[in-house]
Amino acid sequence: MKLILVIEDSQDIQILIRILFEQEGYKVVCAGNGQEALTLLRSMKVRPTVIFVDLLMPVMGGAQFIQEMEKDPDLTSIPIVIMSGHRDAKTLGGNEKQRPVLSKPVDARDLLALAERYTSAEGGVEGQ
Amino acid sequence: MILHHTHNPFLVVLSVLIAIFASYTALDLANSITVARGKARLAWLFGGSMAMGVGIWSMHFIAMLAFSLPGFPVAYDIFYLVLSVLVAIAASAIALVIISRSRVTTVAYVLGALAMGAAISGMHYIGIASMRMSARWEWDYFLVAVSIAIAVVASLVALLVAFRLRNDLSRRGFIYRGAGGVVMGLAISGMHYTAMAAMTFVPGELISLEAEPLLATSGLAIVVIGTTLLILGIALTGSIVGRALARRQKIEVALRAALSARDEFISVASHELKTPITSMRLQTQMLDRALKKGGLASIQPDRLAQLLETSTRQLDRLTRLVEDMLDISRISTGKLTMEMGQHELSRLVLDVLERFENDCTQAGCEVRSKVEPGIVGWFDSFRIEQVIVNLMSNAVKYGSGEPIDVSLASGPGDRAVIKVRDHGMGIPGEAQERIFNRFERAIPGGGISGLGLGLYIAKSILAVHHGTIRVESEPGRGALFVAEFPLLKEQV
Repeated sequence: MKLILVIEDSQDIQILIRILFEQEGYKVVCAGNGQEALTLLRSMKVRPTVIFVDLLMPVMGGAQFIQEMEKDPDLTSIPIVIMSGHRDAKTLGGNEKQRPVLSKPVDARDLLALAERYTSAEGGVEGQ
Repeated sequence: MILHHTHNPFLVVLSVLIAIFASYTALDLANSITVARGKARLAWLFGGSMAMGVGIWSMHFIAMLAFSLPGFPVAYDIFYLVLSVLVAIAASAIALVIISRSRVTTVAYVLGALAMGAAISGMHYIGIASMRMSARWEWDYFLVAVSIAIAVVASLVALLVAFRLRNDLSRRGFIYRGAGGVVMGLAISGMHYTAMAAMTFVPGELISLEAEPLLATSGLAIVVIGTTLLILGIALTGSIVGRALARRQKIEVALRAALSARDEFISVASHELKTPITSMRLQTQMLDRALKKGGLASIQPDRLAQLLETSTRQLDRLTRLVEDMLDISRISTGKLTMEMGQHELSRLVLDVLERFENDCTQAGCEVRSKVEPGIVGWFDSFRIEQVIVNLMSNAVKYGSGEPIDVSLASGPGDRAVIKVRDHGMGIPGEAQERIFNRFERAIPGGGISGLGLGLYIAKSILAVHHGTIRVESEPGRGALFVAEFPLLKEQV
């Protein structure tokens, strides 16, 4: 199954990315911040194939979320894509693993290409 | 036989002028000493005491040079003369130490005035003791007491005036300092001439004025006056230049702070603009994809509806951002005009609460409201609504999903009192004043959206309504915002 987790504090962006991915046949779950996402991840039976995470969010931002994930052996292997309006996102902490960074305003094609890359790497990708 | 003494009027006037100049310089120095810290403060204290001490002493000495007893040339004992200078410097040091303290108690004023008065009197009478001539004098003890009293009272007044004026760098401060200098200068001169009036001269034993270590009066006046004016001039120039530098430094610091606030604002504003832009970009791209894939029908109707809703919301958001920025420029150019009228405030508050129902539910915040019905007032309905909306959106944003208490009541003096209390993260003490400034937020870039303009705009709107806004908060315990403004037309 092609499951994507989107962590983004703007409800509207959440909705749009969800619709974008759903239109392409992905299943999408959303969280409003890093803390919510961690709780969600730990309660999920099926892990998402890839996580798209915003950097600046209340309660727990993206950088801290990534740190927390890396501490958790169950979660650390899930690929992450960083989305940020921050110009220096590439050099921000928490990205030693050279994860892809999409700068805001994100492009739908980039989102889909990355989703495609990670889900096909896992195999089992089908068209719509 | 009583000898009649005379005073040279030119030197008398000069002595008074020097006293005024020295007093003014001392008042001026008080500021530089207060502002300076560490070694600079010690240097100012030392230099200031020297300048003021020499200035006061010089007034006395010139006044004594103005004195003459026809037929009885006068000379001065150098030892006593030097001693009297030192006492004058000590008196000045006492004064400057006291007035440059951050706070001065009544006891400190009184002790300071007594010490200074004693030192000034000491200086004078030591100076008299340095006089050598073939005459002796008798004292009128009443006038001696009066002269000492004048010294103490003048010192007290000088301390009070100097303390009050030390931080006033305005034009008014300059005028007051000038006036203070004149009063103090006259008091110091008054002390001297009263003390001189206390003396009655009679012929004494003949002494030779050629003996060392005596100083004759000829030419001495010019040296003393010249030196004094030079010292006072240097001190005053130093004080003025130092202050100008300090003022410039202060302006530079403020300028740098303003520039960095502006840069921070630009970065926050661009970040804020990115969310609506991101949403619109995604929408157009999605529609484009859908059209290429077989028309809008390929998107389910409920998804299409959601797309449109987000569009509308993000457009509203953009509009609000732009309105806020326009308001800021209106405020800074003084063009924030109000359309005042009679409105029902209770209705307005309830309307805003109704509009916030959705946002509050989404954020998980229960709203507990207590709105006094029927409160009517004279205000700009659109602008006051803006204030309430701002307070509510802050409470939702920073309220951590905890309940929000909102109340409206009419307070004493026909004032509307609007309270919005959240139970969220709270605001640290250092930020509580800052958040009402332009571009400021309690937590810069802490992942919470907003331009940091809302409270500044709210404060400005209330100010035009002759109202106020304040906050009470502790970190972790939520924040209470209280907006107040007069309801009656006559009060606005």
